Amino acid sequence: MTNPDTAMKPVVVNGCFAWLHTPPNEVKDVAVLLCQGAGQDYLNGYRSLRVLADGMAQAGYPVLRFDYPGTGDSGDDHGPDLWSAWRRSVAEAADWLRQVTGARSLILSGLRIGAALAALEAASRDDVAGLVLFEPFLHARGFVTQLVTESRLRRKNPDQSHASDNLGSVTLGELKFSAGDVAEMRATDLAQLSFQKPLPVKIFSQNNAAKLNTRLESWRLQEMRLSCSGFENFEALLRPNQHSGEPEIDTIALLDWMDREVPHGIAQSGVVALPAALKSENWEEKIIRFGKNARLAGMLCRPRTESAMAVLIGNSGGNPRHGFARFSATLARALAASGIASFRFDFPGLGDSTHLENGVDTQSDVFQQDRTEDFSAAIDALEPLGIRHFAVHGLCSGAFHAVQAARSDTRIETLATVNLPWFTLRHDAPGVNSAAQKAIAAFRQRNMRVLFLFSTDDAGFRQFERHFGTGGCELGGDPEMRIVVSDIVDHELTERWMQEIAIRDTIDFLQAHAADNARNIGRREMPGNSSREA
Amino acid sequence: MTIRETILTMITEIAQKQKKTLRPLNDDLELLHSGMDSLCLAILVAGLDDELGLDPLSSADDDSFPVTIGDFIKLYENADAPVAG
Repeated sequence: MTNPDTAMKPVVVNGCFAWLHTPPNEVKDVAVLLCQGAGQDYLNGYRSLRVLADGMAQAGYPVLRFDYPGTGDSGDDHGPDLWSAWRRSVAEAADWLRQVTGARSLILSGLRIGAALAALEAASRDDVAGLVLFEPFLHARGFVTQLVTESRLRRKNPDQSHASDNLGSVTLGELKFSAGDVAEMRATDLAQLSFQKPLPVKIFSQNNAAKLNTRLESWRLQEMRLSCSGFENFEALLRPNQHSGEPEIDTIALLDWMDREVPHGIAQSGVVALPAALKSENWEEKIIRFGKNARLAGMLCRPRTESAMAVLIGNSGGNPRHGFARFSATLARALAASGIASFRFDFPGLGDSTHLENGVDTQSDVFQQDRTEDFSAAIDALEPLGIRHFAVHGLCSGAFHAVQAARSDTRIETLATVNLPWFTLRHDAPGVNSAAQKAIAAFRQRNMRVLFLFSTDDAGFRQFERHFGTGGCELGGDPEMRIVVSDIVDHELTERWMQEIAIRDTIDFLQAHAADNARNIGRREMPGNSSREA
Repeated sequence: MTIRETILTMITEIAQKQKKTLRPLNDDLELLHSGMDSLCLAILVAGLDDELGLDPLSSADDDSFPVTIGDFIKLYENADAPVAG
C-alpha cells in the first residue's frame, strides 16, 4: 500500500519534465531513477509507475520518474535521433538525481524499453548499486518490431504514412526514430552488456522469467546477482489503462529485495529541488496542484502573451493528461502558439491525480466516475490567475466528460469534442426527450458555442446521426454549432497529420465566430452547418 | 511446440492479458477481426521475435503483410524454413 501524500515535486531536467518523489521522513543515500516505457507501454504504465515511485519514496528512497524527450510533458527539442536523445536523457537524469538528492549511488529501473535504457545506462556508470527491470526487451529490436507492426496495422492512409518508414526510419504517434536510431536499437542486446562492477539485479516478467534467467547467463559470469520473478505483483504496469477495479501493484516484495540486496545508508544532505517551468519560444508550462487537498494535477500551458481564455482538457480513456500519441500536449502547445492558454489535467485516479478508496490510491473508472466537480475545481484554480473565459475540450471519454462539465458549470462558454461516443451512459432513444436533444437545448439556451469533430467511421458519429440526422443536419442553421466530419482521421488521432487536422479545426473554431463559415475552404459542405474534409 | 502451436498459444495468452474476446481461431479468420487489436498483434510479433528469433514482418512489404491467421502462420513457417540452394 502506498501513501498518496508522499511529496511529489514537478521538476525539469535538461528540457525533460519529471516528478521527484521525496521520502516523508528519513532519506536513504540511494536514489531510484525510473525509466518509463514508450508508446502504449508508457500510457498503460504511467499511473502505476507513479504508485510505485510513491511506495519507494515511502520506504526512504528519493525517486525520479521522467518523460523522455519528445514524449509526455517533455520538450520537443531533441534533434533528429530520438533514441540517442533518450539515452542521453537517462544519463542526464541520473546525474541530476544524484546531485539534487546527494545520493551516493543509484538504483536504475525501467519498464519494457525503459528497462533496456536503464540497463544500458547502468553498464556505463560506476555509481549504480542495483538494477530493477520490469518485462524488459532483452533485444531492443523487439521494440522496433512492435512499433513497426503497430504502425502498419493502425495505418488508415498507407500512402501518407508509409513514406516515413521508407528509409529505415519508424514512426508511430509521437515516436519518430531515424534510420540510425533503428539500426542502433536493432543491434542492442542486453545479454552482451559488460558492467563496471557486479550488481544485484531483479527482473520481473509475465511469462519469461525462467527464460531470462537462462539468457542472462552472461551477466552471472560477471558475478551479477540475478533474480527473476513472475509479474503477479505488477500486472497493473502492463494492463490496458482503461481497466479499473483490478489489483494495484504490490511493492512489498520489491522493497524487501531493495533493502536486502542494495547497500544503503542515510543521506547526509537533504533533497533540494526547485519546481521549474518548461519553456519554449511560444509557450511556458507549469504544473498546478488543485482540488481537495491538492490531489489533482494539471499542466497549465500559457502563450508568451497574456490570455484571458483557457481550454480545459481532461483525460481521454485511461491515458495520462498528455493523451494518446501525446495529442493533448501537442494541442496545448499549438493553442499557445495561437495565443490561447490551456490546462490539461488528470482526473482523480488517472495519471498524476490520486483517487482514494479506503485510504488506497486506486484507478478510477474511465466513464462511470463523475468528473464535473473536477472541471469546476480546475476553473476555480485558474480564475485567480486572471483567466476569465473557459472552453472545454475532450476526445472520446474525454469528450463525454467535457459535455457533462459544460452542462454543469455555467462558467464554461465553449465546448469542443472529438469523437464524442454518446451524451449519456444510459440508453438514449432518439426523440425530443433524449439526453442528446436536452444537452443541445441547454447549450442553445446559454448561447454556448459547440464543435463536434468526428471521424466518418466512428461509432460515436453513427450515434450522433441517429439523434440529429445525416451529418447532424438537424442542427443546421445554428451559427453556434459546428460539425466537422473527416474521412481520413481515426478514432484516437493516431498519427501526427491526423492530430494537425483536429488541431487546425479546433483553433479555427476557437478563434472564429461560429457564424463565419468562410474558413471552411477546401471542404465539402454537409447538410446544415456541417462540413467534411475534402 | 510447432510454430503454429506457439503462435496460437501466444495469441490466446495475449488476448487474455489484454482482456480481449477472441473469435474461434482458424486459418481464414482475418487478424484484425480476430478480436485482437493492433497493440495485441504488436505484442504478439515482439513475443515471437523473442521466442522464435524470427522477425519476418519487419521485412514484409505491404503486399505480403499477412491478412489472415493462416497467412500469418505461413509467414513465420516460411521464415523458419531452410533456404534452398
